[in-house]
Amino acid sequence: MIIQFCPQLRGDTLSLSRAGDRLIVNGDTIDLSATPDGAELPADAISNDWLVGTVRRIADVLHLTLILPHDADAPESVRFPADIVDPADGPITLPGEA
Amino acid sequence: MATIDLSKLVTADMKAAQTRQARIAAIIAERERRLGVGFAYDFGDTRGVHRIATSEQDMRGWDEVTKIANAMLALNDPVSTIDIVTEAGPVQVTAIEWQHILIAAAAFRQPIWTASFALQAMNPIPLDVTDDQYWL
Repeated sequence: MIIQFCPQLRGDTLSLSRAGDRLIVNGDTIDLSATPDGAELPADAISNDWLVGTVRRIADVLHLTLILPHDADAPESVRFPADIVDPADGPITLPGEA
Repeated sequence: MATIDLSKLVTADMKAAQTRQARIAAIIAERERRLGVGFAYDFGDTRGVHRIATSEQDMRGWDEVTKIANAMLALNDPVSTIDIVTEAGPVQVTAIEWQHILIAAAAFRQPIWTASFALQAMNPIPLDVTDDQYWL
């Protein structure tokens, strides 16, 4: 799984964890296991507003983009976040988190 | 649990089919472009060499001339002439001469059709279907 981020200045927060092909976004589980290799799902097919852009499974790796909320004085690592590549199951440390 | 509308899922096969359809459309567009370029025809007399247009609109004119020529041939009239306009200007042709032009046109156009069918049968279809190597 490769998670990219779309940083947005906004007041809410994001918590993220992974369980295989399932991503839990602020408590809402997004099960992407039905996306076969080579396929893609537009964001509007998934009822979760944190997910933006198209979800793709390329070479058996899921690629997706999530909104990353931040405040006005967020560090560069949050405003220009690195991708998270192949996170382990469990809670995911987001850019800017210790 | 977030719901997922799987009717919007685009599989690899669907993407491949979409890509193939787009490339076939590109082949047809390139075929039409090449068919429309026209060709040079040498009357072999004082009329000289004329460039004869073959755009889609021109081909409708060809149909008209062909009907007239066919009627002349059916009436065994090898002498009367038909006025046509090439890219070099107006010229008169007999029904038999028109048949020669049709044969020359076939020699120009048929390889283009053949190449387009060969391209459409390729798997995968090349990315650049306008490349001359596929149309020779």
